[in-house]
Amino acid sequence: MRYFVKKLCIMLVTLFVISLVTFWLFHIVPGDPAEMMLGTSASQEQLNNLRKELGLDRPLMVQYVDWVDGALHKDLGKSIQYGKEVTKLLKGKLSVSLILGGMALFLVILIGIPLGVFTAGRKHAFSEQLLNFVNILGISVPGFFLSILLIWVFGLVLHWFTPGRFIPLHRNPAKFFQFMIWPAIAIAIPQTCVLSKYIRTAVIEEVRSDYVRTARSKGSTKNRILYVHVLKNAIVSVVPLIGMIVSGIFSGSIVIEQVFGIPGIGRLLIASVSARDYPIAQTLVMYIAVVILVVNFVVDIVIQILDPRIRISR
Amino acid sequence: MKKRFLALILGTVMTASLLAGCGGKTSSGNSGNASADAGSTTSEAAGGIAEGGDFVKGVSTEAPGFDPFTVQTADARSIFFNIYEGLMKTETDGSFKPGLAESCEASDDLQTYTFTLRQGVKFHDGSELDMGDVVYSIGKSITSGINGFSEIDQYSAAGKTYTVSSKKEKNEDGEEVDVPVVEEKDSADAPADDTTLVIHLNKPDSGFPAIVTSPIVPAEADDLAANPIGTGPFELTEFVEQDYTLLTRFEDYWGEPAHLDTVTLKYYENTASLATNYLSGAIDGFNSNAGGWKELEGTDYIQNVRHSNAVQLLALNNEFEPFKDVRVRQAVAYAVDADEIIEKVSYGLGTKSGTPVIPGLEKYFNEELTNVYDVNIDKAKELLKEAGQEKLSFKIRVPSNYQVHVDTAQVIANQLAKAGITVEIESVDWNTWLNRVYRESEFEATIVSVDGPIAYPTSFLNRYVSTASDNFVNFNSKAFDETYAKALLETDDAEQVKLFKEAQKIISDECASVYIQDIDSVVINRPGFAGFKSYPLYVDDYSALYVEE
Amino acid sequence: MAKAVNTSPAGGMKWGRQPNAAEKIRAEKQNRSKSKASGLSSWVTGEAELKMGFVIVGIVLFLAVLSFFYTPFDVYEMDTSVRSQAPSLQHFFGTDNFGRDVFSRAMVGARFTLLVSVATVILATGISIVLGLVCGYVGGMLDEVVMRVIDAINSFPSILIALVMVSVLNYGKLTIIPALVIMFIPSFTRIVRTGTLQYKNADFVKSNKVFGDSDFRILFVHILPNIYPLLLSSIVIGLSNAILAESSMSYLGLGIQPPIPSWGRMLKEAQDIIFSTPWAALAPGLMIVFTIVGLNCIGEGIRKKYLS
Repeated sequence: MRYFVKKLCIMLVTLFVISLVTFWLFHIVPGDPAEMMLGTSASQEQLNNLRKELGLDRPLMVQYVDWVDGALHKDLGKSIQYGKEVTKLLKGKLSVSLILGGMALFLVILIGIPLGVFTAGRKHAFSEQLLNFVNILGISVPGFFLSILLIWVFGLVLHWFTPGRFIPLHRNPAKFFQFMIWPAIAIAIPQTCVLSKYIRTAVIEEVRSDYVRTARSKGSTKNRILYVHVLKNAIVSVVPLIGMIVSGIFSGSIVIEQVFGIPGIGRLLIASVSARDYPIAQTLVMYIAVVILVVNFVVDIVIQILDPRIRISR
Repeated sequence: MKKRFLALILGTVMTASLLAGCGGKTSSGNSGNASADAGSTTSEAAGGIAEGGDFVKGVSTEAPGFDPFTVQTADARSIFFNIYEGLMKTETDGSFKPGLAESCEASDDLQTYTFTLRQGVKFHDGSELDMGDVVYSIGKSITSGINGFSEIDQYSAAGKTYTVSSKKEKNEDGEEVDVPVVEEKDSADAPADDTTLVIHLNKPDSGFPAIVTSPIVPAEADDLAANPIGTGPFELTEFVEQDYTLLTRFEDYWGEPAHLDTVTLKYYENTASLATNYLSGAIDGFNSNAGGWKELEGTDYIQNVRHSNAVQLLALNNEFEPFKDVRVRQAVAYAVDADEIIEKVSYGLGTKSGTPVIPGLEKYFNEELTNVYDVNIDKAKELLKEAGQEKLSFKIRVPSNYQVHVDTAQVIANQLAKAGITVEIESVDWNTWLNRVYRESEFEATIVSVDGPIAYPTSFLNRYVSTASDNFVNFNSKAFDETYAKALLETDDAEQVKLFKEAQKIISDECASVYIQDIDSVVINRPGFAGFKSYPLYVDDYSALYVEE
Repeated sequence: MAKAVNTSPAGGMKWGRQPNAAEKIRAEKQNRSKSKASGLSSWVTGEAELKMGFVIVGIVLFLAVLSFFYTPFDVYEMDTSVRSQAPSLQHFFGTDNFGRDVFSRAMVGARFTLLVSVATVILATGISIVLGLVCGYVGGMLDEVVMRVIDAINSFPSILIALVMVSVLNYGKLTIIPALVIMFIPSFTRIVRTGTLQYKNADFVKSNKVFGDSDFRILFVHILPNIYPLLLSSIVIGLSNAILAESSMSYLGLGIQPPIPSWGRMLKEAQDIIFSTPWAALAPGLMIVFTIVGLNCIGEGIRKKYLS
């Protein structure tokens, strides 16, 4: 319990540091949203009026305290470029990104775990070497290059899907998934390779352990040992990776949403950073930070429960 | 390409030279009804009009809100053109016809304009247009500092007179600035009825009808940014940030209603992805950036070429030490080959300029200056030697979101290298560019296209006045200041034109910057959609588009 | 809070109970002398990966170095008479939409891509070694604070850090390097710190302490060499991550400035013309993949040879 509380406190402190740093960072970047909205032919008068209207003329600390105060009362402010409440604006984007991330995570687990076990079971075999190489290749392809290739081959040449035509889920679920599967694949491939590699190592290690030898001597079949006993333990040992994979999916999707033109939070983040739309950008950065921190926190707790040895080693 | 340039209201008809420049080109696709002239009003199609239909246009900027008093970007204005209307409306030939005003009369001294309000016009929210809305909108335009409205010193309607004055206010830097204020007073001199509006200007202006094409909105409309309410042929029904803008035909439109049911503006941040999205079938049309249409070769498409109505220039910061010497600026101008840039970057679709005024503004454009600085490497070297700047090197800061300017920078870097000038390119994001380069003049050279908000030479030349706040190149010439001031006060039209041309000559002689071209904008539509209308403005008129039968 | 679990991508393959690295190397050496690596089994010991990795990285390095002296065509000159030419014997990778030779540009691109990633990794490793050693050894408040900051950096989207760094430091040719260094410090520091914690209380460290060695000597002479094997494979993988990150940043327009052809920038510019001129996008993209495969092979080889 003490461990739990300590971890929680640390997480909150980290969050505070992040919020402060984010806020400060955004204000040392040159340019402000008023300039962005007015473009090149606005007068200085217009600019000053707009700055005042947007509250950009107040001292930095006041703006920060204001923002934190609002955030604690579930009021994240209004987007400067869209003039819409941030919470409202994020609603639609979040679900798109979460579905995309979920699809990618699903693919990673669905393919990564069996692939890892499969390759582990075929030590020394040619197929294993081939898979090993494919694995290295998968980790080596930048997400945006993979996306461009997918768009080119499956979209423009083979016409299996229509690049650029994102259709919202509520309009047409079938078409939505038909489109989203491609970016999900682009995000999933590198992560799948990472996961399968780790699973493979974990499985090989487990196979060497005593209980497997015992099970073997008792006459269990190779596959039974592999998929029932070994896999269970291997998966447990891979739990710490989940945090890494989730954060990988997140950062991967930022660029890939851009390439595929998906209206999710990644694309919104880049757009709001370059438009200096601080309320949105800050919220998104905090949101991503919270997700990553919480996932790591949960992973830490789960490891504690699964493997108390780690606590002793500390 | 020209995605964020401010829209421009042109008072002149597209010129014959422009037609010659663009008219010879036809679509390189297999399309049977290719139309490629900028000057014609519509591209006539063989088929009849089928009412209804949906059109998806790919765009590379989204409107940062729909409040016409705060948002001024070119693409936003292009959307506004379909949603909002002003007292006057721009015609395809650049003239003006009555819009929400039934008629417009100018006094002989061109200082007083009288408008009669059209009756029975409905807003998108169902309410009827009245004089209160007009007065509110004009007041809002003045206090928001919309370009051109500073000419108004008084307007009156419905028994009231509104006087414009200015008061001093401190801005964030503590400097005193003039802020316009409008005072309302009951007046016996004001027209008593509800349909007449009289506007008085502080100087004669024959171009005033251009200014009042600016939007009329319902009085006290408080959330235009999210819920735009206008009187135009389309109303905004849905806007999803980072995704699309949905326009639906306004059934109660006072004029001829639109043909299409809906127009979807699908947003992609990358201009260049528009061509691939057209090829994939995701969109039905887009405005191509330089060369983007090249991707479509061998496929079906309709292509319309028009001016972007902005001058692309290599802006030189006149305060940057080496550029303080006019000979160095001239040397750079002689080393830059505008024809090569047009050929390489714009695939030949551009019009050489030579002055800050767009070639399309034919009346005021000083065409004698176009070829003054034709490429001459020897002369450039000679001038550099005279100025003792044989080892000249400088940085070009380009806005990275405009691939066309980044490409131009690369071509220019090669050209200047021939004259022994070293150039380093720095591509910065648009916001940093606006702040560092445009507002703070922290740059040595930059490439951008500059347009004017209204179709009058002032909107192109005013920034060269030494004291102008938007004089980002820091041009400082007494001769220009004097000539320009004289031109503003001149009442004789011919004389004024002469003075404006003279002012341009001074800019050219002093070589304030290197003026390259007006890049053509190529509008691509999928065959089957016809009725494209070209305006001397940066707008897309969706009310004219229709599906062919 | 000692993170016994290393969740960073650049981290080693091990977590939990981990045998002493020095022991492992010894065991590995014995192993190798027993079985002569040949054929498929060389993949198990990592020999084949190392060989392949070095060949690939060698080719890329050769092209990069060669580009200083010779490129088949001028990298910057635009010859519009040969716009968008398909690959041929004259232009191995074809030409782009401005008629520039893609192969020549890819050669020069290799130079800048490698420069950026090597500089990034060297700087990040240097800083991380100091941070990690000190934090692991001293512990306490200092450790807490540094680790919190590192956690915070880790939960930032890297693009944001890059954008801010690039804006603050002014746009320049190599501004991308400090931006990437900051992104890499957290994972490297973690590795060094975990290693330090592991050896801090080892017998040989304790005995040296008894003999009166200074803290500095203990850190850099006794502890650091033990961490090297762990760090080495991370460095190689870090190199490939740096190349990936650099090309992503350039792809988003935050990296190397035009007209210098970095691979990411070439890919970004060619993406727009992929339908008509696919080779212009494929060439830099495949170069990135090729190089990273090479580095990952070396990383994998080192790991197998020295760590398992």
